[in-house]
Amino acid sequence: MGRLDIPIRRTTYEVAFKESVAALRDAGLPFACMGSLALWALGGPTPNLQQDLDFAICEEDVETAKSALRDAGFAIQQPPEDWLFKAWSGEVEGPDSALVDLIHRPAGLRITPDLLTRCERRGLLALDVGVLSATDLLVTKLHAITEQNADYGSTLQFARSLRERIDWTALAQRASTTPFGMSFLVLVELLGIAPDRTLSTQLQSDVRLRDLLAGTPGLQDEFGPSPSQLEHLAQAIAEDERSSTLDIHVGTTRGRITLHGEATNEHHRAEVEDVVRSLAPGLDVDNRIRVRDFSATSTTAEQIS
Amino acid sequence: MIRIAAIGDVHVGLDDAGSIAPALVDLHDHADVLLIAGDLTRHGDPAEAEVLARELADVQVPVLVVLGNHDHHLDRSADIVRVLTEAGLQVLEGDFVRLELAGSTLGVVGAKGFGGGFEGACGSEFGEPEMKSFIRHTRGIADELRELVVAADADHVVALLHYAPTAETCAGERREIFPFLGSYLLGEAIDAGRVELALHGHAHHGTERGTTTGGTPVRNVARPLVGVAYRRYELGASRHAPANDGLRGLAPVPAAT
Repeated sequence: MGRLDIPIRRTTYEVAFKESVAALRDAGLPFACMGSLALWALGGPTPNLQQDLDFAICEEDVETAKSALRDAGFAIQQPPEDWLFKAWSGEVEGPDSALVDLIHRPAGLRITPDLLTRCERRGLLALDVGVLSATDLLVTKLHAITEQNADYGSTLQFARSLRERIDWTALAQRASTTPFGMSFLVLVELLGIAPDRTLSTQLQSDVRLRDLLAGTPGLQDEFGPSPSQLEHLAQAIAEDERSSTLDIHVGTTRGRITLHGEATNEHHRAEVEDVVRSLAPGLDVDNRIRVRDFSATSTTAEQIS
Repeated sequence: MIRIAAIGDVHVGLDDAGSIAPALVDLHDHADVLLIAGDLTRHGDPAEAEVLARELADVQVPVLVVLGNHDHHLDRSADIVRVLTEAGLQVLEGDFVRLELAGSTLGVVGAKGFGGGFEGACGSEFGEPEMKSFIRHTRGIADELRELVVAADADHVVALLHYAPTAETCAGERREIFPFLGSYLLGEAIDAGRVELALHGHAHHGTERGTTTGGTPVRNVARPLVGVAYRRYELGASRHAPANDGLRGLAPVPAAT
């Protein structure tokens, strides 16, 4: 530990880390390190320990964890965010206090007992602690990406420093559920961060593109149906007698086919979906077609002349 | 004054029995005639036309219709015309019909129309036979329409089409498909005579109100666009009806729902 380069408040944070780990451990609560601590424990860069320490706990353990930490001398603070609470080693928001974040729902993902039991055990500052797996950590980081904060920098850095520890196949399955996750998979593959070219294959098998319009020229898109394939589907919806409509827009999000537009009734709406499913067996279809009520009449007449 | 109810693109399927009739129960209280601007059926099956005929069976005013592209899909348009005619509807395929209504006469010029595009972006009779026949079909209909419009003899004249006679009522659709939505040739034909109102459908995502190049009011009554069972128009309500020659501006438009 003496080799750590932490010139300021080193003692405060070290002590806070040790005392919070001991309190949670002695209370018998499953928990694991997250954030920069975990990255460090797994072989990543040395963290700036003046920032907060992050622990993952289960939601059902929140109250027990609060009292355990309170008994150990921490000041408990419940911020407006309902996915974590804060424990201060001194006064709340005091200048000399170290801050420990106890998180049970990072970026909308629920911390489960199962997740905590599959943690790797690591020695950290002379204590044996659980650390979220590199794959789980990466998934939480990817889920934190939003349109307003679409910064892939730290995530790519993370992936590069822990590339051997990431279960890329599992990551591809879990990350492909969001647009940002899918983009990330493309990035790590094209940047050569991912060890092999399995990610796009994973995505391809997810959407079963091979089944989609087999024999159609241009079946080479690796990340979802191509615009020409979607157009073929739209034309099939027009030409198939069951649907016979030009009012349906065929799109794709997250590897699924999305249907927008209007059908004349519920049966027609289902028929359109059937046409798509018969052409693309096994494909996920998100049917957002509306059925409208046209029974109202105009209350006023327009005077033309 | 002549009261018109109009709708288009009802796309009746075999599963649509009961979907239209209830909204038409009191139609005769509001209108002297019902005009339907094509795409009567989902894919041109005469059995679908039978469903529509049953839905319209209790309507107590004359019903005049044109066919749309959907009604041609199975190449059985003649059977559809027969079904509808036997049910008492008047199917206009390049026809003029004069009705005695409420003390004056209404002339309806009706044709399906076709595509080709609007000023600045049109197809022409050039190149492959398929391309030439595409535009020839539109020109043939437009020429027919022009003759009917010029000869139309009635107090009030309305044009009933499926395809759009102006780009204005297509606005909202993607510009790339405008040549499949209508033709300026139809608008020119309408402007050749005394048409007071042109009705069409087909452009589901278009705009309800517009005018032809010559200033004739155009209304897109495609049901997915207007969102109601039918629109209502009144002709001759003004004591100062405009002369039907030359350019006309759009009459003041009351709020419609």
